[in-house]
Amino acid sequence: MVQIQQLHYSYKKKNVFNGLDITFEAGNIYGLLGKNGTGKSTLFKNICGLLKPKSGTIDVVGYKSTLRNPTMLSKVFMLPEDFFVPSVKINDFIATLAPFYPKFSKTDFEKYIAEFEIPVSSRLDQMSMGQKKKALIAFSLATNTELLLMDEPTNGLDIVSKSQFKKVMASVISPDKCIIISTHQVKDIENLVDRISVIDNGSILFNASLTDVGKKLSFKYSLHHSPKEEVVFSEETLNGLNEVLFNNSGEESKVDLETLYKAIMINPLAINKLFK
Amino acid sequence: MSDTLNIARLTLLLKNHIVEHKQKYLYYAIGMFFIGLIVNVIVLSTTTFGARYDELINGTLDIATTKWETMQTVFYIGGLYIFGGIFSCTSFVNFSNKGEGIFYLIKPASQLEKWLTEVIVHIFLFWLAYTLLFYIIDIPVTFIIRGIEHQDYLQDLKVRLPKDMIGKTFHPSQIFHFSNFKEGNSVVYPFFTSLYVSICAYFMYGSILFNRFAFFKTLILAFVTGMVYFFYALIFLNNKSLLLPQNWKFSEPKTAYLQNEHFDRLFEVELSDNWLWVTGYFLILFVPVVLLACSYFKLKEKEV
Repeated sequence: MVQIQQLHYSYKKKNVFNGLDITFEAGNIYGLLGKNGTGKSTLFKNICGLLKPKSGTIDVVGYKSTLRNPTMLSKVFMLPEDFFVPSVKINDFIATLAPFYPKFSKTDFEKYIAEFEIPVSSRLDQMSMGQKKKALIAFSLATNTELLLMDEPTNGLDIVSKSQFKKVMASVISPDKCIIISTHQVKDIENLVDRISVIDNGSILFNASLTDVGKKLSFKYSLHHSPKEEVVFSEETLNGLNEVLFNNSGEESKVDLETLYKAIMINPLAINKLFK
Repeated sequence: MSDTLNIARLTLLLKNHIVEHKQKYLYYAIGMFFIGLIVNVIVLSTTTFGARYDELINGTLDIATTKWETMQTVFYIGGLYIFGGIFSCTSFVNFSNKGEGIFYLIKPASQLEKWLTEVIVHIFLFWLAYTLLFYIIDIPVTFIIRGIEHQDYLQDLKVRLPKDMIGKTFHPSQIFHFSNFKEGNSVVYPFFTSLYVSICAYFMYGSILFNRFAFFKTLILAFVTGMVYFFYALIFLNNKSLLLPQNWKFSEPKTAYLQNEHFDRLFEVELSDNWLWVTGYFLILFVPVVLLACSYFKLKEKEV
C-alpha cells in the first residue's frame, strides 16, 4: 500500500527524516506514535505528496506520491490535525466532493453521521469544533479509500465522542484498506490498532504488530518489583508499579499501549533486540 | 481517464469550487455592485451632461461619443482592472491557511485541472459576472442620463430634438456600442483583453507566491518592479551613450534607430516601421501567457 525507502526530509532549519524506511500494508490499522515534533504529520504530508522529500522514494497505491496523481489522490484521504471545512451544508459538501471518490458510500456516511449525532441540516462552518471533526471523520470513512491517514483524530473530541470514534473505527477495517492513525494520545487508540510504529529522531524506532508484542512481552501492574532479568521497563505510579516483562508464558498477553510506548522510548535497544 | 486533463473531472471541480466559494463570491458581487452604484450616483449628481449647442445646430451630435459614453468606457475598463486584480488575488487564498491548503491539494484532481479552475473562475467567469453587474447599473443610469440630456436641450437651448434622435437616444443598442474597442484602432481591443488577463494572471501569481496579505505584497512587488524599471530607464536609456560605441548615438525622434553619422546613410541600422506594433502584438500574447504559466508551475511546486 505504502512503501517508503530512504526518505530524507528537512525543513529550512530542521532535519526531520534521515533515511526513513517503512512499509504500510493493507488490512491493518496502524498506530503511528512519537513525541511532539518527531515528524508524524510531516510523514503524512510526504505520503500525500503535499511535501516533497529531499531524497528517497514514496510509493503510494502504485504511484509516486510527489506527482499528486489524481487517481492516487482518489484512493487516499487525509484528515489533517489542522483541518478545514468549507462554508457549505453537509448535503452540498457531499454532493460536490464525494464524486471525486469512486468508492464513496452515502449509506455509510449517513450511518456514521447518525452514530456521531451530527445535525445534517447545519452548515459545516457553523458547527462546533468537535462536530466539524466528526463530520470530516464520517466523510473520510465513507470515501472508502484504500489508504486513510488520520492525524490526531481524537484531538478536540469529548469523552463520549472518543467512544463513538472507537466504535465506528472498529467497524471499518477491511482487507483492502489501510488506516494509519497518528496520535500522541495513546489511550485513544488502544484496542483499535493492530500494528504500532514509533518515530523518533528521524527514523522508525519500532514497528511491530500488537500480536507479536503480546507474544513477546507481558504487561503487569503490581506492588512489588519483579526479578530484574525479567524486566524490560518499570515505572512507579501512585499506587504501585507498571512493568513490561519478557513473556515466557507462551500465551499472548494483553498489550498496554501507553506502557509499551514509554518502554520503547526509554529502552528502545532491549525492545528492538527482542523484535529483530 | 486522463490523469492530466479530464473534462468531466474539471467540470466537477468547477462545480465544487463554486459551491464552496459561493458565499464569498456573493459578498464580492454585492460589494462591487454597491461601489459601482455609489460611483454612478456621484457622477450623476456632480456632472453636467449634454451636447454642445454647435453640435446640435450642425447636426454632428453623436450619442456614442458624448461625455457619458467616454465615462462608461473608463468605468468599465477601470473597474474591470481594479476589481479583477483584487478578485484574482483571492484565487489561491486556500494556501493562507494550512488546513485549507491541505484540503485543496488532496482533492483528487490534477494540478492542471486545479489551475484551470482558478483561471476560468477568476478571469473568465469574473469577466462575465462583472459585465453583467456593470450593465445592471449602467442601463438604468444611462436612461437617466439620456433623460437629463434631453431636459438640458429642451430647457437650456429651447430646441426640440427631432423624433428620430430621441428614439436613437433611448435605444439600448447604443449602450452596448463600445465603439472605442470595436472600431478605430484595431490594436486597442486585443491590448485591452491582454492587459486584463495579464493583471489577473499577475495577481493570481501573487496569491500563490504569498500566503498572507497577497494583494498588498503583490502591489508592493509591482511597485518595486516598476521603480527598478523606472530607474533603469532613467539611468541607462536617458544616458544612451553608455550603451553605444564611441561616435555612435541615438537618432531622435526614431524610437530604436542607431546610426553612425560618420558613415553614409546606407549603413543606417533601421528597424521596420511597424516594429512597435510587431513587438506590441508579441507582448500582448506573451505577457499573459508567461504570467499564467508562472502561477501554474508555482502551483505544481506548492507545498503545505
